[in-house]
This record gives sequence, structure tokens and C-alpha cells, in this order.
Amino acid sequence: MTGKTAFLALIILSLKTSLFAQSFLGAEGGLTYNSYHTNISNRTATELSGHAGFNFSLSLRYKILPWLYVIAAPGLVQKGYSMNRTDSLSGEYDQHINTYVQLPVGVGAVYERQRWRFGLDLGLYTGYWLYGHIKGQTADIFGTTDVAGEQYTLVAYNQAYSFNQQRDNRWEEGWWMGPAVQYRLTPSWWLTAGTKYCQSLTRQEKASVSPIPAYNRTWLFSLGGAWSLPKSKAHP
Amino acid sequence: MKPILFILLVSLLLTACKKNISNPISSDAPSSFSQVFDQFWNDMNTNYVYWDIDTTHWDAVYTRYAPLFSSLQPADTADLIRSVGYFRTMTAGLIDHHYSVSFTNPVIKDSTLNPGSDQWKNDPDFHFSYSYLGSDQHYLDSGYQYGSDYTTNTSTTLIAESGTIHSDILLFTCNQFMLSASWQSSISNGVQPVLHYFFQRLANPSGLKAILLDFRDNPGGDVNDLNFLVGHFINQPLPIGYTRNKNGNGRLDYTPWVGIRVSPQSGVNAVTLPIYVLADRYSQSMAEITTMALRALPQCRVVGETTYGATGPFTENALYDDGPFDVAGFLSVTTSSVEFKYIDGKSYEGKGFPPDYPVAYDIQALGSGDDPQMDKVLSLIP
Repeated sequence: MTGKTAFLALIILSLKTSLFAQSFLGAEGGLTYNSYHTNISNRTATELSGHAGFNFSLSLRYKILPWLYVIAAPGLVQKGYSMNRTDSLSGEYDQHINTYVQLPVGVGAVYERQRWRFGLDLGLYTGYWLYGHIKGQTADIFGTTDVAGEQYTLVAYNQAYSFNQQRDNRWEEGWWMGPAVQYRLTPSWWLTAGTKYCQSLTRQEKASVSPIPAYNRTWLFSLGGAWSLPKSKAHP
Repeated sequence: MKPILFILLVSLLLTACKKNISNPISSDAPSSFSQVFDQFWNDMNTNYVYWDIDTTHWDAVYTRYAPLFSSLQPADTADLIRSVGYFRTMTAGLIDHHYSVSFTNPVIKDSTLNPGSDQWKNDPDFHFSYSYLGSDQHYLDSGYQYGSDYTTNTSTTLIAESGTIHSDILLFTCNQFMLSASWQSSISNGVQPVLHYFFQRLANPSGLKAILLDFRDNPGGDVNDLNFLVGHFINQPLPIGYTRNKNGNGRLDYTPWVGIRVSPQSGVNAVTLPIYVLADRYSQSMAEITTMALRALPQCRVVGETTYGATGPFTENALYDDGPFDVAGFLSVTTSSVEFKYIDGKSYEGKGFPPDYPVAYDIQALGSGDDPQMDKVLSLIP
């Protein structure tokens, strides 16, 4: 936790510093697509699939070189996945929709042409698993629908996920990168669009309860606007 | 130039971060004792459903036993026998009373492990099983129904009997649960008329004061019998508890608890008469689940001993991707597929379901033709 606190302090400090130089303050939102990177080869008639969700973030860009910005974009990101049974077990599934509060920080290289600015951003992020929702259908072992007792009734569930301190690793750290495009509407206002790929480097489950790790891999697609803060005297 | 260097650096980062995840659970036959142990340990980690409440420290098991297994040689008969001892001690404290290990390696194929049975044998109240079918006949009025079925399942014979005691208490008992299959069997069998008589009297209870079901010395059986038998006592779904299964490879990956209800059989009127269930330490699995389901009815009481404590049913691994598993060519494990929690929110796995009226097993009384547990039921019915 000490490392995380220092990290957050550094970001806040950098945001404060940015007010004294050319910087952009914006808001973006859009869709996410998350996949759960693990190995389920031991599981019969089961497939993993990704899940779409939403993201929303504030973005701050601080120009440190003519072609390089420092970036911070705190926000909310949904990261879901499903484990679906196939073949004769089709209909059984288990879907997780997890919401993270996430703080990506990094740098972005830009190329400007008239009103357009094209960039490639990358950096590190830390996230906290804020909320989880679980939905699915499982077989009722006592309920069969046929005389032979081989067709099971499915029972549905759809509820908030209860965190388990023994199991859940609620902090997530990883790296991210992606292209960003900005279009200048007025001297102060910009339209923004961007894509980020976030690769978690930490497991969602604590290693002590699962020898098979599982990581989130998330694509974020967002649109938004940014306001160019007035240049200050401190600008180099 | 500098942005190009930046992009090259990014590309390098992307290629460096790609990684594949291995899975230690394999269906391949292990070639060393280290592999046997690793597969068993990982299969248990994934397939065992009681890690949330079991007190066995599975990580400590790995630390202690991995070096012991790595020193064993698969071709050494003494080492094979030694491995059975290791498996026995590492599973001794498991609470799953369905849990058993049978060895498929030819040298040790006669060995089996049953931690729940071993725990019961070490209990100060331990006693051997006793078949109450004959004892019940002493209490039944003449003309009771008795029948057996050895055709539905050729490996075991189902016996059922039903009749009245004092002409106004309707009794039903069976030595295992296979009633639904026997009832639906196209081959005429002796259990069908017993069930027919019992269901007829349930549907026409005039002259009866109470219903008595004797599930003592009953190892359980087919889960379909829950709806089939208890469904004849109700005319609307009866909530009896909750189940959950594993939903991932982690030790603590679970679905949420889902409510379980017994479904009524079609055209049945709810039984309003007092219901008594006789249960003992040999009421296992479906026998105790059926006892618990009936006890969810307000007019039901249980008499006898605490049941065995095997409340989580099992089926083939594929249904939930948990429960029973094999280590190819070495051993086969039977274990619950779902965790069961009763309607009161408690798990009775490994502990057993307690009676409302405890009456101790008394072999001397039984030897003299008296059944104190049955006597207690009769004393409760005015």
C-alpha cells in the first residue's frame, strides 16, 4: 500500500504542476471489451468468452516536449467475461461483470497536422476492483425433466458478487497503450477519440488459492472532448 | 525521428509481454510419484467443493507431502503401499462424507480410503449398522406390503415395505433410494405395489393419525427420488436449501448459492398429518437429504440419531466441472459435486443433521425385540 500511496501522490503532484504549463483537461467515455486470459483446458465442454462493457474517464495531458505529453486518465472501467458450457451442457453459463476504478498514467508521442493531432500513448495503470456482478445458470442436481433423470433443470442467478478476502486480489496493475486522435474545434476546445489496450500483470485471484493464474486483458474505445488550458509563464 | 524511436520501443514492449499460461491438471497417466501427487493435489484444488469450510490446510499438505512423494519409486511395491498411507493421512480430515479414494493401480487396487467412515469409527459413540427392516415388521400390523426389486439395478437389491402400526400410523421404509427408477421400470417388480399402496394411503389418509418414514440404515442413492418421494407430500414447491458448485479452477471459485425447491408431483394433495422420520448414523446422502427436506415441513419431526453428514450429492465431473475425478492409471476419487446448505443457512456436511428427539442406539433392546427409537415415535403420537 505504501508504494501505491506514493504513486498516487506523484500523480496528484504532476497534475498540480501541469496547471503551470500547456495542458489539456478532458472527459472521455465509451465501450470496453475484456477477455480473461487463463487456461481452462482441464474443463469439459467449456469455453471462455469476452464481454463488452463501458468506460468513463477524465483525461489530463501535459506537454513536456513539442512531441511528448505526460498523461493521466482516472476513470471507471468494466471488465467482464463469461464461462459458457457447450454441447449437451449448453445453457449453463457463468458471467462476471467487474467494475474497476482505474488510474492509467503514461506518456504520449504526437504528430500535429493543421487541426489534427495524432498520437500514440503508453504507460502503466493501477486499478481497484470496486464492484462485481455475477449472472448465470447452473444445473439443479435434484431437478430433472426427463424420465431417465439425465436432463437437468437450470437454475438462474443474477446478483452482486460478494468479495472474498481469501480469494480476490482487488488491486490490479498492468501496462496500457493505444492510439489517440484529437481534432481542434476552436483554439480552446478539442474533440478526442482513442483506443487503449490494458494488459494486467497481476492475477485476479490470489496465488495461494489458484495455481492457474488469470489476467484481465481489456480494450477501451472512447470518444470525448478536451479543453486546452491557457499557457502559463512557466512554460519552457 | 524521436516519435519513430518511441513507436519502436512500444512494439518491443508488446512482443515482450506475450505469455502462455500452463495448466497443471492433465488427463495423461503420470510416470512418477511426483506427477501422481501434483495431479492429485491440483485436481483436489479445483474439484473439491468444501474448501470454504474445510479445515484441511491444502497448501500445508503440498509442503509436507510433495517431498515425501518425490522420494517414492512407481515400480517399488513397498513404495506403492507407502503412498496409500500418505494419501490416507493427507485426506483424513476432509469433511466431505461422500469422499472416497479407490486405487486403480493393479498393485494397490484392493485399497480404498474413506475419511468420513474413518472419522465415524473413531467417534466415541461409534456402533455398527443395524438393519431395521425386520424390526419394523414386528411393529407393523399384519397384511403390510413388502417387496424387492433386483432388476432395475442389477448390482443391488432395493427393498421397500409399507403398512400401518396400530392401524392409524402409516409407515414407509426402504433400504436405499432407487424408488423413482423402480416405480418407472418397465419390468414389473416387487417395489411397485409397495409404493402404490403407500401413495394411495397418502392420498386417502382417512383413519390415519400420522405418517412415519424410517430412513435408518439407508446409504442413499438416486437424487431423483427427492422430488419423487417428497413431492408426494406437497402441492406447491418446497424450499429446502441452497446449492452451489465451482465455477473456475481456483480453490475458492464458486457460483452464488441458488435456492433448491422440491417440486410437487402432479395431482397430489398436501399431507397435513404429523410426519415423523426415523434417522440414524447410517442415514446417508439421499436418506439424510430426504429427512432434511421433510423436516422443512412444519408438521415434521425427526427421531433417532444425528445422520451421517454426507449432504452434498455427486454426479459425473462434466456436469459442473467439479466433483469426482481420476488420476489416470492410479486412483479414482468420489467427492461431492455441489455444496449443500440447508434452509436454516447451515451446512451439515461432515456433522450430520440432528434429530428433534435424540434416542441412542441400543443393541441390547433391539436384540430383545424392542426398538427404543420407534417407541419414542409412538409415544409422541397421542
